[in-house]
Parts: sequence; structure tokens; C-alpha cells
Amino acid sequence: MIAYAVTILFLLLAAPLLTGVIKSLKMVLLYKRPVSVFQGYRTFSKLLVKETMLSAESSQITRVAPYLVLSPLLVALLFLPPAVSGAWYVSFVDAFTLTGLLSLSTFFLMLLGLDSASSFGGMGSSREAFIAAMVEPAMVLTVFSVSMMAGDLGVGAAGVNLAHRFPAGHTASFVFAAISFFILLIAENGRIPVDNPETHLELTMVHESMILDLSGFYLALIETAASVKFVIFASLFASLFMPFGLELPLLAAFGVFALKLLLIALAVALIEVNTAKLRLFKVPNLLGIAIVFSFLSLITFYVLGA
Amino acid sequence: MSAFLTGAFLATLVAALFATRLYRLLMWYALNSLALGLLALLIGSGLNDPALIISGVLTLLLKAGVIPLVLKRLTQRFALTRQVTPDIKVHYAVVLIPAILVFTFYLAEPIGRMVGGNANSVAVAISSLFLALLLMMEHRNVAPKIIGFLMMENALFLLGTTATGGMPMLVELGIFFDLLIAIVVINLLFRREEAVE
Amino acid sequence: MFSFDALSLLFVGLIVLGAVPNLFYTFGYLPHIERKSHFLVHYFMFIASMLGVVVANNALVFLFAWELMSLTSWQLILTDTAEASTRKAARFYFFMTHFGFVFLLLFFLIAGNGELETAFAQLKIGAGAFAYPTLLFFFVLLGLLSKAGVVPLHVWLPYAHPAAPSPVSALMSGVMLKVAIYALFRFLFDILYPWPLEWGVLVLVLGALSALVGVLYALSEHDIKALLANHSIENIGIILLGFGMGMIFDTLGLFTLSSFAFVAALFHTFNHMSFKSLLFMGAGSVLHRTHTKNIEKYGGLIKAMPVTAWTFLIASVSISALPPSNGFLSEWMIFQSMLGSSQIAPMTLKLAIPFAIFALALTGGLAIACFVKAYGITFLGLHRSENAEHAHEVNGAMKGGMVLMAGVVLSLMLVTPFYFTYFDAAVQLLHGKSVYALIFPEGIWQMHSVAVYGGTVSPLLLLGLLIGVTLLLVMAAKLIGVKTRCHRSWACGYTTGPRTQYSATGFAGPIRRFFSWLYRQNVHFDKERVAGHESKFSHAHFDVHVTPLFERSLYRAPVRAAQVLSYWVYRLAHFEQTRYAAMIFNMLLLVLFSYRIFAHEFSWATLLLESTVMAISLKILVIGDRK
Repeated sequence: MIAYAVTILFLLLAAPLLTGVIKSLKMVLLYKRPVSVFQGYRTFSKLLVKETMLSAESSQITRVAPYLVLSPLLVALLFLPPAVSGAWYVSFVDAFTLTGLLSLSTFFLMLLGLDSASSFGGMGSSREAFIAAMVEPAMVLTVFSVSMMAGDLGVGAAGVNLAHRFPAGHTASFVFAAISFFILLIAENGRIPVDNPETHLELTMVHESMILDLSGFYLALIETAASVKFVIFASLFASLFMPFGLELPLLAAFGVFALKLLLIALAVALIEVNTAKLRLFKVPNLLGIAIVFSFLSLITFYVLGA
Repeated sequence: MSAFLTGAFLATLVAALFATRLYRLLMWYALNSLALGLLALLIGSGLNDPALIISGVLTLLLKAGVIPLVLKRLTQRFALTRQVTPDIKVHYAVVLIPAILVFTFYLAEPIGRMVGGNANSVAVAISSLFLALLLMMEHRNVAPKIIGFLMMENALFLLGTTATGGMPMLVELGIFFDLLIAIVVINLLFRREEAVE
Repeated sequence: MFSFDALSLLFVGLIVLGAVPNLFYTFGYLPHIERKSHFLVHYFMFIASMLGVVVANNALVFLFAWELMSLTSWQLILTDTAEASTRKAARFYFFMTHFGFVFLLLFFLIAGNGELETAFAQLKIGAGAFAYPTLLFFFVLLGLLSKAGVVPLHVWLPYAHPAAPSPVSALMSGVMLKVAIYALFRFLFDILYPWPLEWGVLVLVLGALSALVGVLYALSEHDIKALLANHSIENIGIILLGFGMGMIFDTLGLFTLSSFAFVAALFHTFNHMSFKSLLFMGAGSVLHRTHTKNIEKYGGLIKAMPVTAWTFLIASVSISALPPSNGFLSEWMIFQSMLGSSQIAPMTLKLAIPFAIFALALTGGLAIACFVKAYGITFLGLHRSENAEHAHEVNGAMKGGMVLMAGVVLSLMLVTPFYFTYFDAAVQLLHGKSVYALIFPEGIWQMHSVAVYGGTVSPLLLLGLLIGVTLLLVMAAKLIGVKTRCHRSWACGYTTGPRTQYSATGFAGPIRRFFSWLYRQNVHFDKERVAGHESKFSHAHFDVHVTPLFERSLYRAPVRAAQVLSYWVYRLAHFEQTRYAAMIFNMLLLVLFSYRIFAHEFSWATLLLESTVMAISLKILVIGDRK
């Protein structure tokens, strides 16, 4: 139970750090002088003390939605698989609930975009709706495939099962599912090549344009939500697709877990530096690959038993 | 392990169906042949069949190494278009390709059972034959069509190894000879395409 | 003559739950209707006839009540006959509903051997003696699914349901479609049981198609009531997905999973009744106050109509299948029953069910997009027209109806186990297998799946956690003492106004463009340029009209069939080089196909199914898009 609480706290606190790490890694790779990896915390604390501007055009939804964007993600954080062996985990939540919680958060984010009556917000919501609709099937199929390899649909139990007996006979479908999930990680978190988290050009932005009219405390909530979402996906990837190192002694296991998260951040940074952002109508090509690989994962699992 | 390699074979084939650049396509072909060659080596060493091991090594050398490089050289020499967009749009392809895979598997299932041995692998080999044919169909340019043809060759080889546990050496030699002819034909075709353009 | 078993009583409950809030709403709506007595007579007859259908126990009573239901709803559509489109929709509805009626009549005549007064239980004998049970099954499908609006018999639905007065739309979409689902349960279990495998697969395919087609056309719709009507097609599709899974499992002897899937289908039936009625009531209120159905003319209504807006939000969350709503729970159950497919033996079926999962998941994603659009454009932002600006909240009775219905939605979420006892009783009656104890093995807090490797969900805990975390965040905001100030939207420095907002057409733009092959959209775009400048214009109008594919193919295609045929023959003679490879591909497919069909095993249903697949492959690969 203590390990559980520590993991959750660690993930929550490390969330801004992880996005900061990606940012500074990218800057290093582009031969720029990197910003501090702790920039996320500074921004957060600054936003907390700033005055919050509300758009006069907006309605009650703008006052409610930021909370509802963050809270499903915080709840989802509680259900992640354990980082160390033998730790307590939530057994009564399965992967569909988790994806549902993520969709709930996105739903309110999209409403938020439409509420400020600016064309940017609407544009962001529209694009997000398009991408989210394409992500959904790949996500469900990947989850299905993983649940069979892990022998449980419950997120926590799946992580533990995979760590205890790795499905060595099913390496092929395991790898395909991992490829599919990694694409989803990129797409859901709005990283390049799906969305550019740094730009403020109307042609390219998706996530940023929905939150254009937020400031102060509400912006802090949304920024936290974005980093928490990334940490949820990263730790899911670490637990489900890199299922090793749980058996080590407590501190070492934590260390390995943190290392895995850093590794994912590094991979994302490398991809971001090496690819160009896709045109919106090319994004389905990428997600199409995720969908096909999740199908392929299922087919090889059934047919070849691999 | 052999199942993993069959899976990798299938995955590279499917990835090739989505490729839009010629060099990327060649890379998938090379990886596809790599998986096939390793599979042949694995099955050959399992059966203690020197013929299969030899053809496995040949596959690794020729198909995974030489042919992609030669093709790359040829495309450079004839300055072929390297942007090869599939005719089937991606929103069809996402469902169509798994659907064709499953449907052909469904149709080929009784044949697999007739052959005996590893029925599912045989059926998958037949399905990959169709996918390779699809690769030929979905492109207008000659170069990807040829890669589709080579992939089909690979699928036939996979069918042979999985269905019979190693084909007679004669058949395999015949296939490699075919390949040689194919390369000659490819050269001719490229020249023609150049003339047309 | 009548039977009051668990299934009938369950659907009586459904009708009552759907009708009581509707009565309040109707009472508030009544001053708006001109021919009051005409409306009221038919309205009450309509409810009574639906009750009659679900308690009927012989063919005569059933058909009488069914026909009465059709006729009264037809008259209700004709309440306001001012518009020609309404009269046309009513005529269309009248035709389609009788098209289905003929098949039901045929079914009863064959099963009852000409006798219409035998009880349903006895009909089983007649049906069993009939040599072609698949024909009977097709009669039932045609008769019931044309009423339920399943693809490809759905074309009338987006016209007929919106044309009626809003409370009637709510009843028709929310309740009447479920009566057809009731009849499906009743006939398939009581008369046609047991089923071959292909029947279940057919129902599954129809469900998947309806779900996708419904939600895709809903996305392109600007008429709010037609949008909701299209969503009814989608939800009926989802119900059929659950039902089809149940049929497949039953045939394969997996009775626990089968019961689970049927309970899921029943649960979604109830859920759809609740949230669709609520959505239609909300749409009706908006329509009542703004006098337009066009979603582009709304905007900012949450400020003037808070009760409507918040109840509509509850229903939107629920229909988008977001946790912890009841819509999520039933979709979760259907997903779980599909995961159960990993247990089944026939390999190809096992491989095919992921496609149904794909369809359901894509439907879910698109439904979210659609309801963000419907809610965002209607209630958020600035007023897009004069009408919306002068709107105000509806009267107390209508509000009462909506709040009551929201209560029904919430009750389905909060006291799920209570409802489940009744679903379980109904399924146990039909199927002989109770699953309640398996779904709630450890009390009401957790819902378990019965599939191997299945998951668990705990809606109440989830709800509690969500509320708790949100309250914590709100308290944090209070603690920090967030200072707020109101100012107009920044929007990168541009001025915002009603006309700079995103429109519904624009919102659905990316998705419409991606699925353009399905929509075949007609774009009207004109602008008045200032002094011939390309980029400067004083006025612009952009409008997209979508012709549904099925409407075209079902009604206009036969006329053009000859033309197309000759065109194909022409194409065959003038193939391009690439098409030859495609020909060979299909030829090879044909060889394998004929081997499988004629040498391996033969069944009419698979022949039909596979011929369809072959035809699609021919169409896509050989014939391709018309240039």
C-alpha cells in the first residue's frame, strides 16, 4: 500500500519533469541551449498565482470543464499497474475503463475549445475529434490483444502477469501490439508527427488551440492534465510492454521504472526531432498503421499462436 | 520461434503495402526476405536438411542483400520516380488488408488441412500470396510491381517450406532460376519505362 | 391472448419509464399544437398500442397492436401538416412500415399454418415443421428490422422521426424502436430457437453496419432532430451487436457468455430509451424556443436555457459511452462479450469478430465527435442567429419532463444492479441461464465480465472517485483564492463574433472529408468578391449537402442498373493494365471460394455472405472508382 501511494505520488510529481525532459532533450539534439528540465514546475507555480482571465463569451462550461479535464486523468493515475513486485494495486478496473476515462477528459477539452467562441478553439476541437475517433479502434484492439497475452483485462493485473510470466511464445503479437501502442502514445499526447506541442501556428496546432483562451489557474489545470496524460501512457507502456525489473529490490525496481520512463521520453524526443509534422489528412495514415498492427497482433496470436 | 518469424514475415509484407516511398519498400522487402531466410535456416536445421539450409543461406544472401541493392542501383540509374503512392486509399486499406488476410485465410483453411502438418501456417502462407498480389495491384509504377512479384516469390517459398517441410532442391533451384530471369526482365522493363517517360 | 411473463413485463416497464416523463413534457408542449384532440387521441392510442404489442401472446393480437402502433404514429407525424416535407415523410413512413408488416404477416401465416389465433408457444411447432427455417428468419428480420431502422432498411427513419412533434419523436425513437427489439427477442427465442450459426453472424454484420452508417450520417447532419434520428440507427446497431454475439455464443454452446451478451443488449435497449428520449426532449425545447431545426442557427443557448443544456449534457455524456455513465456500462458489456470470442472454436469466426470490435470502437469515437459537435454548436459559444438570441427557458412542465428523464438516465447508472435483476429474469426465462450472480459476485460495487480474462468495472466507485477528485481540485482553487476577471476572448487578437465561430459544417469537416467516398457531398460555395480580389469578399456562403448512399442505392440505383451494367461491360473490354492483375486476384479468390463452397461444405447463408464479400472485392479492386 505504501509502495502504491509512493508510485502514484512519484508519477504525479514526475509528470511535469518528464515533459520537461523531452523538451530539453529535443533542444540538445537540435544544438540549442536547453531550458531547464524543471521549467514545468516553474510555469505551474507561476500560473497558480496569476490572475485568471475568463472569456466574456464563454459560459459555465469554461468554469467547470478544466476540473473535469484533469480529474478523470488523476483518477486514471490511481489505476496504473504497480512499479514494484508485490505492491498493492487496484484490481477492479480494466483497460476499457481507463480508455473511457481518457475519452471523458478529451470530451470536456473539446467542449472547452468550442466554448470561447473563437475560431481557433473550434478548429482545435474539430481536429481533436477527428484524431480521437481514429485512435479509439486501434486502442481497443491493442487492449484486446494485450489482455489475451497477459491473461487479464484488468490493467494492474495485466502488468503483474506480464512481469511474472512473459508470453515468450507470443513474441510476434507482443511486438506488434507494442508498435501499435507506441503510435497511440504519440497520437494521444499530441506529439510530432501528429501535433506539435510547441507551435502556435493555426495551421498546425491541435491541442494548443483548444486552450488558447485559458489563463492562470485553469491553464495550470490543463497543462497538468497534458503532462499527467503523458505520464499515464508512458507508465502503461513501461509496465505492459517492458515488463521486467519488478522483481528487483524495492529501490532498484523504482530506479528501473524511472529509467524506463526516461527511455520512453528519449524515444519520443528522437522521433520528434527526426520527423516532420504530418498534414492533418495524413495523420490517418499513421493511425492506420496502428490499426493494422493491432489487427495483425490479434491475427498472429490466433492463427500462428505467436 | 518459427511462429515469430512467420509473424514477422506477415508484418513486413503488410507494412510494405502501406509504404509510399520506393526505398522504404525495398527495405521492407529485404526484411521480409530476412525473416524468410531465417525461417528456412531454422526449419532446415530442425529437419537436418542440408538442401533447405543451403536455400536459406541463398535467400539471405540474394534476396535480403543483393537484390534490394541491385534494385536500388537500377532505380538510381534509370532515375525512376521514388514516390510510389498505392492506388488503394488508406481508409480502405486499414480495413481491407486485414479483411483480405482473414478472408483468404478462411478460404485457404481447408487446403491447409488437406496438406496436413502445420495447417494454420500453410493457410497464412496462402494469404500472404494474396497480399503480395495486392501489392502488385495497388501500384501503377513498374518498380513496386516488381517488388510485389518478388514478395510473391517469397510467399511461395514460405508455402513450400511450411507445407512440405523443405521442398526438393530441384524446385528451389527452379525458383532461383526464375528469379534470375525476373531480374533480366526487370532490367528490360525499366528500360522500356524509361523510353516511355 | 395476453401473456405477462418476465420479458413482457420488462418491456412494459420500459414503455412506462419512457412514457411517464414524456407525458409531462407533452403537457407543456400542448399549447404549441393546433389540433389538440387529434393529437391527444392518437398519442394515448400510440402508447396503449405499444403496451399491446409487448403483452400480446398470439399473432392476431400482436398484428393488430402492431398495426395500430404504425397507424397512430403515422397520424402523429401528420400533426402539423403545413410543410410538404412532413407529408412526404409521413407517406414514406406509411409505406415502409407496411412493407415490414407484410413480412410479419407472411411469417405468422407460415408458422401458424394459416391459423392466427394460436399462442406463440404453439407456433414453434408450425415453424419447426416448415422446411426452410432460414426463410422464416428472413421474414422476421425484414418485418422487424424495417421498423427498428437497421441498415439497409433505415432510410425512412431520419425523415419520419424528425417530422413528428418533439415529444412524439422522443417516443418513437426512444420507445417504439425498442418494441421491435422486444419482438426480435420474442420470436427468435419462442418460435425460431435454435439458430444456425449464420443467423447470429448475419445479425452481427447488420448491427456493425448500422452502427457505423448511423453515426457517420449523424455527423454530417445539420438538422438536430435528424442527427438524433441517425443516432438511433447507430444505437439499434449496437444493440444488435450484443444480440448477434449472444446468438453466436448460444449456437456454439457457450450459454453463460450468451446470456451475458443478451443482458448487455437489453441494458443498452434501456439506456438508449432513456438518453435518446432525453435528447429528443432537449432538442424539442431548443426547437420550440428558436423555431428552427438548423443547428447552425443555435449557439450560446446554455446561458438562456440552463436546465435544457445541463440535462442535454448528461444525455450526451451517456450516449457517447463515457464512464461512469450507463451508456458506457452497456457498451462495456458488449465489448466484454466480444472479448469472449477468444474462447470460441471456429477459427475464422474468431478472426472476424475483431472487425466487429473495430466497428464498435470506431462508432464510439465518432459518437463522441458527433455529440461534441451537437452540444458545442447548440449550447456553447455565441448566438448564431436572432432566434437563438431571444430564446429563453421552456415552461415548467417541459422542464419537469426533462428532469424526470434525466432521473431515469441517472437511475440506470446508479442502481444498475436493481435493473439487472429484471434483465436477468427475462434472459433466464428465454434462455434458462442466470448470470446475475456471475456479474455481481461480490455485491453491487463491482461488475464482472463473464468472459475468460474478462475485466471488471465499478461504476459507483468510479463516480465517487471522479466527484471526490473534482471536489478536491475545486477546494484547492478556493484555498489558493483564484482571482478571476472577465474580458472578451483573446483569440490571438482577432475580434470574436457570432460569425467567426466554428460552424457545425466546419466541425465535421475533417471527418466528412476522410469519409468522402461514403458521403458524396454536394458543396455549395459562393462569395461576393470586393473589386475582384481573390481574398477579399463581403459575403460568403458555404453549404454542404449530403445524399445518403443507401438512399441513392436503394431507390435510384434500380433505374440506372442497366446503364451501369453496360458501362461495366465497356470497362471490361478496355481494361487498364493494372486491372488485369486485379482480375487474376479475384479469379484466384473465386477458385478458392468455389472449392470451399462446393467441395468442402455447403450452406446457403455462407454462400450469400461470401458472395457479398466477393462482390465488394470486385467492386473495389476491379471496377474501382468511376472517373
